[in-house]
Amino acid sequence: MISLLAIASAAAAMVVFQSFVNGVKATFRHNVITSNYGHYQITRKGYRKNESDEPFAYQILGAEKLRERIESEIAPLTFFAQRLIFYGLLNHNDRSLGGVGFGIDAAEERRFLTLVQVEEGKHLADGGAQSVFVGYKLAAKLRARPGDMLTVLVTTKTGSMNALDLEMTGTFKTGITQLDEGAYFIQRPVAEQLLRVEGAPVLMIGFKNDNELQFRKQLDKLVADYDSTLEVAHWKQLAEFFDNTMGWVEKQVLVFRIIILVIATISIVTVFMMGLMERMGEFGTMRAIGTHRQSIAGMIFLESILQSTLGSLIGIGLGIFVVTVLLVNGITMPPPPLMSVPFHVTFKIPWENIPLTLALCVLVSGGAGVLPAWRMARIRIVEALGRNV
Amino acid sequence: MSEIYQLQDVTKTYMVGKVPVDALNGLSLSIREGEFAALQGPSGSGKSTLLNVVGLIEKPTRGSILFRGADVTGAKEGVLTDLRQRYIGFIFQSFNLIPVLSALENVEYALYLEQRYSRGEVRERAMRAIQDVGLERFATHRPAELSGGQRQRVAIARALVKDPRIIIADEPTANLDSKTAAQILELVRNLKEKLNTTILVATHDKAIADMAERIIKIKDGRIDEN
Repeated sequence: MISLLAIASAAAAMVVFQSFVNGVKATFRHNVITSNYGHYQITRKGYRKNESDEPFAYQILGAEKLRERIESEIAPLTFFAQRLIFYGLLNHNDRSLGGVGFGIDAAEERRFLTLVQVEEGKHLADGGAQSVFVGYKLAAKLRARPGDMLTVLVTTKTGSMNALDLEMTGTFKTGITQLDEGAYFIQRPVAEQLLRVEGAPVLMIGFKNDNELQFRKQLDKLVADYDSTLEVAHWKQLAEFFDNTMGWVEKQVLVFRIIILVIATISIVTVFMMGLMERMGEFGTMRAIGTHRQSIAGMIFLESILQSTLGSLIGIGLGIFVVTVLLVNGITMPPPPLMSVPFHVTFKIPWENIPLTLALCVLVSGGAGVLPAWRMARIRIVEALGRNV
Repeated sequence: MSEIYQLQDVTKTYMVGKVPVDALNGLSLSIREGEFAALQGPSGSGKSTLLNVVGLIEKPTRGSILFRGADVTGAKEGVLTDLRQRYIGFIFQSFNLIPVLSALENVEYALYLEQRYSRGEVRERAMRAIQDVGLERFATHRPAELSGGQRQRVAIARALVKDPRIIIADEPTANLDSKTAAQILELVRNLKEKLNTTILVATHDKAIADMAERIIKIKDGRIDEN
C-alpha cells in the first residue's frame, strides 16, 4: 500500500509538473505573439538588415491585395495590420526623449495584440486621429499624463525635419521592458503624413488559434509568387529571446525531472525493501521447500511491475484530477526574463505525453524492484526462516 | 535398508562477530531409508544446525554429505534447491505457511514447484493431502483463520503431498498445547505407517521420542549417544 502510494505520488507529480511546464510554454508563446509580433511578418528582403540606415526604402504598397490572396488561397486571417516603424524624439514641456514610434492600424492591433494593455487613459483606437499612445515607463519619464500634448519630432523620408503635436490618449503596458520604456504608437495614416511616405514596411498577420505553423510553406510560396522581393518571418525568428528563454526553462525542467525520478526511485526502492523485509520469512519458507532463486526474483519483479503499473495509473489519474479540478484556475508566476509583469499560467495537460509518462513511471518504479528482488533472492534461508515467528 | 544420508566429519562454523563458533564439530551420522529418528539435545547443542545441513539449506564448513549415495557437499545452490523440492519435506516449529494463500493453495504450491503434474492433478493430490490431515472443511481458509494445530496440519500436508523421501521436522509440537500436540503426533504416526517415509525430528517432546525408532542425542555439535 505504501509503495503504491509512493509510485502514485511520483506519477502525479510528473503529470502536474508537465502540465505546468506546458502551460508556461503556451502562455509565454501566446504572450509573445500578442505583444508585438503576430504570427508572421512580411517585409521586403533586406529591410531587417538595413532598416536603421534606410528606414523608408522598403515600403510595401497595396497590402490589401496580398491579404485577399492569403485569405482566398490559404486560410482566413484573424489579424492583418501594417506597421510603419520610425525613430524620433518625443517632447513634453521641457523634456525630450528618443523612442521607437509605431504607425499602427490601432483598431486591428487592439483586437489581436491583447498583451498591449491600457495602463492609464484610453487606447489609441479610442482616441482621435491626432493622438499618441505611450509606453507607461516612457510617459513617466516625460512626466506626461493622458490629455497632455506631446510633440513628435522626426526625420522625414527626404531628410528634412518634421514635427506634429499629438494628444496623449493614454499609456500602455505590455510587460516587455523594451516596449514599455521606449515605444509609442500613433495612427498609421498620421505617421505616413508625418514621415511623408506611403505604405508601411511591415505587414503583420495572424491566423486562428495559434496554429500558424501549418501554413508556413503555403505562405512562403504565395508571398514569393506575389512579389519576389518580399519575405516572410515567423514570430520566433523575430523574438529570438523566446527560444533562449524556453531553452532556459527546458534545462530547469530536465534537472527537476531528474530530481523527481531519483527521489522517486530511492523512495520506491526503500519502500519495496521495507515491504519485502516484512515478508522475508515467507521467502525463506519458499526457498526452503524448493523455490529457486530466480523464481523468487521473478515473482518480486513481477509484483513490482504490477504495482508500478497500478500505482502509475492511479498517480496519472490523480495528477489529471489535480490539474483539471484543483488547479483549474492556474497560478500567477513572477515575470520571466525581459518582462516586467507577472504572468498567469493555466495548466495544460500534455495528453500526447501521457503514454510516455506512464511508460517512464512503470519503467522507473518497476526498475526500482530489481535491486530488492535480487537481494531477496539471495537471502540466507536459515536467517529468513528465523523471521517466521 | 539403504542409507539416505551419510554425514562424514561434518563441521559447521558460524562467525559471531569476529569469533568463530562451531555449531557442528566433526559430526558423523548415517540415516537409513524409512526410519523414524528423533534428535535430542539441550538448546544450543546443534540440533537445528544439523537439521539445516541435512535439509540441504545450509552447507557444511567442512566434511562431506552423501544424499541417496551422491555427494552433495559442494553442489550448486540450484541443484540443492531441486533436491529439496523433490525429496525433502519440512515441518517447522512456526508452521511457516504462506499467509496470502489458502490452506489448499499452500499445499498446492509445493506440487507446482515440481512441475510434474497438471493443474487438475495438483488440485486433486493437494485436496487428498488436506483430507488426510482432516482439514477438508478448512481448505479455503487462510492461515490467519486457522488455529495453531490446524496450521501445523496444513504444514504436514504440504510436506507429505509430494511423497518426499524424508521429512525433516524441527520441534513440530513446540508451539502447540498438549492436546493438539498429541493429535499431531497421532497424525504423524499414522502417516508414517501409511507412507513409510524417513522422518528426522528434533524435539524436546518425550512423547515424540517414545514414538521414534531411534534416538540421536547431540551435545556441543557432536553425537553424544546414538
